[in-house]
Formats: sequence, C-alpha cells, structure tokens
Amino acid sequence: MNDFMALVFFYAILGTAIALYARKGTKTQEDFFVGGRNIGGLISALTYAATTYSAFMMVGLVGLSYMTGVGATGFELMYLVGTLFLLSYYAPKVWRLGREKGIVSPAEIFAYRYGTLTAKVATVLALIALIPYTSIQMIGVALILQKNAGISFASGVAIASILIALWAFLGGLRGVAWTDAIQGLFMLAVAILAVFWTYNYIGGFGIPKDLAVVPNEFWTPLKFATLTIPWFFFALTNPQVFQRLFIPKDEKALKRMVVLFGLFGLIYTVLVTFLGLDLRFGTEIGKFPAVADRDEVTPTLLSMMPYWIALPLALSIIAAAVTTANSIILTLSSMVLRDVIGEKTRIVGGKIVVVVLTIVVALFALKRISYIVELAVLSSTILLCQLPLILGVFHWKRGKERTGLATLMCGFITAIVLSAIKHPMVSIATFCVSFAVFLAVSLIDR
Amino acid sequence: MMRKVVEVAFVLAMLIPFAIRFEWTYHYWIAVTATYLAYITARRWEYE
Repeated sequence: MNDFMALVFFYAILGTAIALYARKGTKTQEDFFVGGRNIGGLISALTYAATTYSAFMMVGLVGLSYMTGVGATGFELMYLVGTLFLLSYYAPKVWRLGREKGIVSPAEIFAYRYGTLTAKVATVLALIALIPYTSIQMIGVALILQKNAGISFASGVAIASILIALWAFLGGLRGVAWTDAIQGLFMLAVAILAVFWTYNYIGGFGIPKDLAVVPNEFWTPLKFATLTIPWFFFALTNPQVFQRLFIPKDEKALKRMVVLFGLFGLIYTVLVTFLGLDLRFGTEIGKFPAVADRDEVTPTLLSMMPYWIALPLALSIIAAAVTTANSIILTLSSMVLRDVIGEKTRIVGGKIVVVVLTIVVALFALKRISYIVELAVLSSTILLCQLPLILGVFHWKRGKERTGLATLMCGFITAIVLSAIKHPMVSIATFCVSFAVFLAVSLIDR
Repeated sequence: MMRKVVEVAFVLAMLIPFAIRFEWTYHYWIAVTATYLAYITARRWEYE
C-alpha cells in the first residue's frame, strides 16, 4: 500500500466512524433522509457547501480560470449571488412548507401541488439528469486513485462506489451531513494551503490584460448568460440542495445555514479562481508550463507540488467528489422510494435504493459511454424545467397535474433536442419554453 | 418592496463588467458578492 492509498484508507475509516456515530436515533424515513429536521446551522451550511461544490471546482474551475480569465470568477460568483438571492427569499418558505406538509423528498412538493404523477416524472428526470453527473464524480475519484495509488480503473470505481455509498447507507442524512462538514473544512484548508504554496512558487499574482476583462473571446454576454442561467437557479432546481432546505432545526439555524454557506462559497471561489489566474500568470512569466487542455491544469500543478501538499490536494478533490455524489444518491433514493415506489415508512428500502443507485452509477462510470459527459454538463439545464413548478407553488394558484406534466416534458425535450443539435442558447430556450408552457397550460388546466 | 429592489440591484451589479470594461473586474466581482453577503447577514429575516 503506497502513501496515498494509506491516506485514502485513513479517510475512509474516519468517515465511517463519523457516520456510525451520527446515525444514532435514526428510526424513521424523516430521520434517514432529512436528519429528523433537527440539524444545526453550521453543519447544515457545511453539508450544503460540500454538496454544492464538487470536484469541478478544483479541476474544472481552476482550468477555466487559467484558460478564460476573470469571466470564470464572474460565472461562479454569479451562481453564488443567485443562490443567496433565492435562498434569502425562498428558503424560509420551503422550510415551513416542508414542516407543515411533512415533505421529505424534493418531488413531494410537486405531488402536493401538481399530483403524484408529476412527482414521478420529476423523479425520472432527476435520475436522467443526475446519474451521469454522479458518474462523472465517480470517474474523477477512480482516475485520481488510478494515478496516485497505482490501481486499475475498475478497482478505483469499486473503491469510489464504497466511499460514496457507505456513509449514506450507514447514517443517512446525518452520516452524510457530518462527514460533509469535516470534508468541507478539509477542502477549504487544503485550498488555502495550495494558494499559499502556488503564490510563493510563482512569486506574485497578476492577470494578463486580455484575461482581466469581460467580454473577451470566450466570455461573450451570450456565453455568460447560457452558462449562468442554469446555475443561477441551482438552489431551487437541483434536488440534492433543495432537500437541504428541510434539514435545519429552526429558522435561526436556516438563516445561519444560508449565511455561512455564502461565506464558504465566497472564500472557496476566490481561492480556486485565484489559483487558476495565478498559474496563468506563472505561464506568462515562465514559472508554470503552458497547458493546452484546461482539464490538465490541476494535474500539472499536482505533478509539480511537493509530496506533502500534492497528496492532501488530491484527497481534497476526492472529498469534493464524494460529498457531492453521496448527497445526490441519498436524495435520489428518497425520491425513488417515496415518490415512485410509494414506501413512506421503513428506512430499509432507502438503504436498498442507495445501494442499487450506486451500482447503476458505477456501471455508467465503468462503461464511460461518450454521451455521459454531455448529459452531465446538461444536468442543470434539464432540471431547469422544474423551476416554473417550484415558483408556481408560491406565486401562482392556477395549474394542476396537466400543467406539471406538460411543463416538465416540454422543458426536458427542449433541453435534449437543442443540446443534441448543439444550439448555443439551450439553457435560455429551456427556461423560456418551460415558463411559456407552464403559464399557457395552467390557464386552461382546471 | 425596498428590500427586493436592493437585492435585484445587487444581481444586476454583477453584470456591469459586461457593459463597461474595466481592468479591476476580478476585484469588483468579489467586492459586490462580499457586500451582498454582508447585506443578507445584516438584514432582518422573516422570522426575526
């Protein structure tokens, strides 16, 4: 066993111990999927942050900042501002509705307003959108293990599957939230360490002139809008974060969750984009090799870092992927169990669905089908079709099952068809079609 | 109502660099987000 594998082993043991401790008192599905609605503000904030910020940050966003400049910072901060904007208004409403109606799975909010069939269809769309996205996280973990621990890709997928399923299986939401909290703090600490090391290694910070402004060659206003719209509404459309609005123990904890998540998001985004921009500055002054593929920027940095920082950084990328993936699996399990199967009491079904979904995700990861990447990128755009229905719960009295079904289906078909023909306005069109269908059908749906 | 206007203004402020090009865009975006976060923290919430 090499040093990295030993580190992963220690990480797995620590996470398992935390999940076992956290599962105490988990008896009902409400306990298993939403922590009995009794989670404190700090843990809620850290699980929200760790669920939101996937391996994309330390790999994708570092590379995007390196290649395209400050527009990447604007893109990620626009997501954060959008999330704070939506949460400061809707989080208390969703939290209260969850308590009043006993809502556990995110799709139940659709069942309550638009009928159970709408909730079933929303669950299927969430599976279509999020299983490929989760597979990409698993592939990322497997590739890091393959490179750093010298094991095969298939073994990496097997280990990643265990890491992703185990803590959700053992401890449900509490297991996931507590391990998320520790991992979120670890991700932040390692990002600070990586920025300090890189700043000292490069010998300063600067942004090349053409990358310091927008619009530029990459970040046109249309490109910014297309990429930003699905992420701006992420807090309402993505079930794994929407479900976290049910977990704080009181409204004070809910506010603390939103504010502390915002603080985490701001610090983490600044660190990650600083890293990408500083590495580009390093390339300009000859301290860091020019990298043509943006996904290779972080691996190149890892290969140049000393052992004592490269290993924790690689582990923090695994942590980011695992925290996102296990939260998605747990949320999807609640939707499949409660909204599709209709089992709303026993938690053993939840545990079985966690295992089954992890196996499905692992099979996708092993096959590495070419369209997985396209579907993963498209995930937030596909989920955008739920937005009018969620806003309709609070602002629009008209519309029932036909409205729910028509909105979801038309939005989904628009996203898939326009993505297949590589239309540049896929997210904007999905947004517009979903709202237009929702309004039109709701007027005749009595 | 005033609260909604202020919040929408923060969101729109994030788009200003696309209308007016300036070299400290990076610092501007961080400052707007930090100010918005401070505003969210300080302002009264429904339950308070």
